[in-house]
Amino acid sequence: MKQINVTLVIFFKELKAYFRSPLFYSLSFFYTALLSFQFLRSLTAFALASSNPMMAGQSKNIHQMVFMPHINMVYLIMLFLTPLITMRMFAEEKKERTMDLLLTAPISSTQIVMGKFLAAWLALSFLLLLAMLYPLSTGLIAEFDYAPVWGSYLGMFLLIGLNCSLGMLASSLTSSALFASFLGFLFMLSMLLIGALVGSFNHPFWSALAEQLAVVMHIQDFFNGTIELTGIVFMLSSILLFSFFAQRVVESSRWR
Amino acid sequence: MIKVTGLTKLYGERAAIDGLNFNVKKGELVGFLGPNGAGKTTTMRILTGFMAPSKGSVEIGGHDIFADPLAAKSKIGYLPETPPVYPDMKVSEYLKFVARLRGVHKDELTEKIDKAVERLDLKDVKSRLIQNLSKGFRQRVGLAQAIVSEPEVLILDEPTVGLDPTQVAHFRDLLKELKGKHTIILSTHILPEVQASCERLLIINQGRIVAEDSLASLSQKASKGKMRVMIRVKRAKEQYIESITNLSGVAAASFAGEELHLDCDGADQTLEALSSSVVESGMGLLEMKISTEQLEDIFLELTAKK
Ligand SMILES: Nc1ncnc2c1ncn2[C@@H]1O[C@H](COP(=O)(O)OP(=O)(O)OP(=O)(O)O)[C@@H](O)[C@H]1O
Ligand SMILES: [Mg+2]
Repeated sequence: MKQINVTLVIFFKELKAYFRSPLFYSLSFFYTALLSFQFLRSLTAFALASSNPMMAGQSKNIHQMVFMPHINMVYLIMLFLTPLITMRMFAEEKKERTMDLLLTAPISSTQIVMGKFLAAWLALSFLLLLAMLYPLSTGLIAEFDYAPVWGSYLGMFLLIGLNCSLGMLASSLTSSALFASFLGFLFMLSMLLIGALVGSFNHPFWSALAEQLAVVMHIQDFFNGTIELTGIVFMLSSILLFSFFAQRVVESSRWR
Repeated sequence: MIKVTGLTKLYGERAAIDGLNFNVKKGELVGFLGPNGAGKTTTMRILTGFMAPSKGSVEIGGHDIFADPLAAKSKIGYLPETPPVYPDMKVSEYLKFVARLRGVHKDELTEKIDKAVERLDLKDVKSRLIQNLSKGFRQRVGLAQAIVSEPEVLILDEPTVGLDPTQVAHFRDLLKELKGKHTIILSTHILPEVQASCERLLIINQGRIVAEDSLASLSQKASKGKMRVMIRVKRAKEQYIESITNLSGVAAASFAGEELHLDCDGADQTLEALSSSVVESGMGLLEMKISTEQLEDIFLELTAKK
């Protein structure tokens, strides 16, 4: 009981810090502005196309024309935004020397990492929730199959979690927030590219491995509305793995 | 309460501290004294579990700080060299966070925070953002943070740095109040600080303890039966120097302006003879006191580079 309590103390402290940081607000603004612009454009394009009798035969569905570009946009912005959110997680604590407080309090580094990670994940999920308003509001005026939308958002939710754990690991490695954001971005990019890289070897073993390791492929499945257990397990275990690394790094600071 | 055995911390080849041994009893107030780079901060970081030693062990209230960290740490309040404050928090919010982090129960939260705020005189800045506070106030917030959970053990690294004289005096009163109820270790290189409050001194130099004793017996040892006395007079008369030096127990005497400095054995009858002889000389005795530079001398002597 007490264990959970202190983790929550860290969690709420972090969450508060996110929701009062000017950076978070400017990023959210930038993010919603971009999404609104893009969503409205593709929605009008879709409306035009579907009202055009010439195109009736090759009727494109709303998923391909509106939701896919939308979710891809969310995916792209998140890739740039996540490192900026996660960069301060440990780097700032070290720079401000508040790490001294955390590491001498009756709380384990696992609890510190857990509290911080969950808060970052939730803060970013809040942005994802904002993005969800677009398809949901479209649901008010048009009817469509929701499955791929839910799938995409579940995939994004897990991907954000994975990127948070990578960003946190980067932040635990340095006391400069700027460097942490750069390193975090690098980690996230490599995680995305690793599948493509390994897959480029023309060998059945490597391509089979690549398929399992490739975040992109799992994400693509989610985006297409096919939610597979392996995908979920892969994402969650990666999150655990990188959070564990971050915990090791935090703990190792005592031994230097 | 605190038991330190064979504590060593190596940075590469260099030992920042080298085989420290000491005990602190429950309720004791110990001053940790040493020049820059002596290893005070390093020792305190290890005592609080912030850092692991290369060798040796630390026990806080019977719990080993590394075998059983949570139990040991829940007994400790710590003020690091730099106050560990979050600039984007308000003072009261910050104290609440620390109290919760240290496991203060919800029901006691407001009471304990109010007490810490009052003890460090922070009422006026309670609802201000820490980033807007001056250095001295941040230091006080750091101190409030250390005592807010009312821990059994207080470890304070240079607690009076940046405080104004009123606050330093205030802090001494606070120490008196806390003494006995809490076990306190404080580090400093400011001598009057320990002179005024600490029962026992640990003097550390180049990573080793060079002296460990009460202040009184330390000064007795260092002075070896010598006492420096300063006498301020109205009219200095050089011709009396000889007769004063001839008094039994007085070693050397000299005038510096209107002040007569002399070394004597410190015995009561010597002091009595001294004062009456000055009065009889008609120089006009204004003030007579035992020099306070003594502790400084001990400090310099013990920490002199070999
Ligand atoms: N991270 C580090 N890497 C290498 N050497 C270090 C490190 N931290 C401290 N030292 C060395 O350890 C020794 C003890 O330092 P420490 O900070 O404990 O001194 P101190 O007694 O607190 O001094 P001060 O009065 O200046 O605060 C110093 O010689 C210092 O150079
Ligand atoms: Mg120091």
